[in-house]
Amino acid sequence: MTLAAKITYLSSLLLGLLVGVLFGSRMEAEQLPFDEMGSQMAATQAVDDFGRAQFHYADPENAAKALQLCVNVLEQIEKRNPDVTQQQALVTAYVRLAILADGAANPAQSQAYMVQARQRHKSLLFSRDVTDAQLKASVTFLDRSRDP
Amino acid sequence: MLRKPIGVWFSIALVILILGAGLGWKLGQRLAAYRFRYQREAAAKLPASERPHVEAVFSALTTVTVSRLYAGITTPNPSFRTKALQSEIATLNRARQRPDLQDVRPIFDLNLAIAYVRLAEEESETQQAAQAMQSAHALFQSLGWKDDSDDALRAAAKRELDFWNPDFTKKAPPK
Repeated sequence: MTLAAKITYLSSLLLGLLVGVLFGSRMEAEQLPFDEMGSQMAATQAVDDFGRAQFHYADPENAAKALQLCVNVLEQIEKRNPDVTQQQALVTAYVRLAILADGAANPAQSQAYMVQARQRHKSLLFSRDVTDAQLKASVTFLDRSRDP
Repeated sequence: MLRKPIGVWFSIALVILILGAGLGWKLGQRLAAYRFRYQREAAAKLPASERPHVEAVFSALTTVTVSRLYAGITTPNPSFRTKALQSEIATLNRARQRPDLQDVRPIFDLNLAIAYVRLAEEESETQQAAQAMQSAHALFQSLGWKDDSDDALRAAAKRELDFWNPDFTKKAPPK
């Protein structure tokens, strides 16, 4: 192989690598946030569905345990990468816990859960001040529309 | 020394360029993924000791939703539906047996129970259907469901399926 051939082939390889790295990293960097958002929504949905189903169908003790699990997992996911979907799911989980505490005639516990729910709700985009009753009514309405 | 014609030189150089670009593309993707993960981890408020566990839980929960979506796809082919459900059941069974995911096991249990009910529906009147329903009952009981009769479980599974796979062709009732 002549020197000219060696230089040509090496230049081709370097040029190819450079173009590939530039375009590959750029395309991937544009795609990754969307992948992450999709995964985030999917994981949150799995937790929220579990909480809703257990709240609707399980006995109060198991439902409360399940919702507490949802809160723990959602808070972990939130620490990993905060996102509006977990905030929404956390509001719902706390409101469901408060409704269960109401059912168990434990107003102090219910109030504590509603404080958490309101705090989370305030951080949501376009949220407005709502009363505890409004929050509970909206979660009950959403649950009924899914599990009549 | 034999000198190759310019066309051969050019062709070889072009092949090297394309191969290099392909290799560079893969490398670039990896670099971008590494950079993205690094930036996300730097911004995260998770202690390093908790990170592997949270990542494992996150990944497993994403898989739960994806496999449910996949199994929920309506198709006129019953064997495809059965295969998709069996694949979902296998995925969920693997996840619930992992020692690092025991704290979120009830989430897998619920999805597994629903998948068993749907499998029983698909395999109606067979021994496999009876076994699937039996497994579903055991899981729903462990989750503390108030009504775990066959009809209640079937209705719950159908509601889940309808939510994930709404029938857009169905006409709205006349007002």
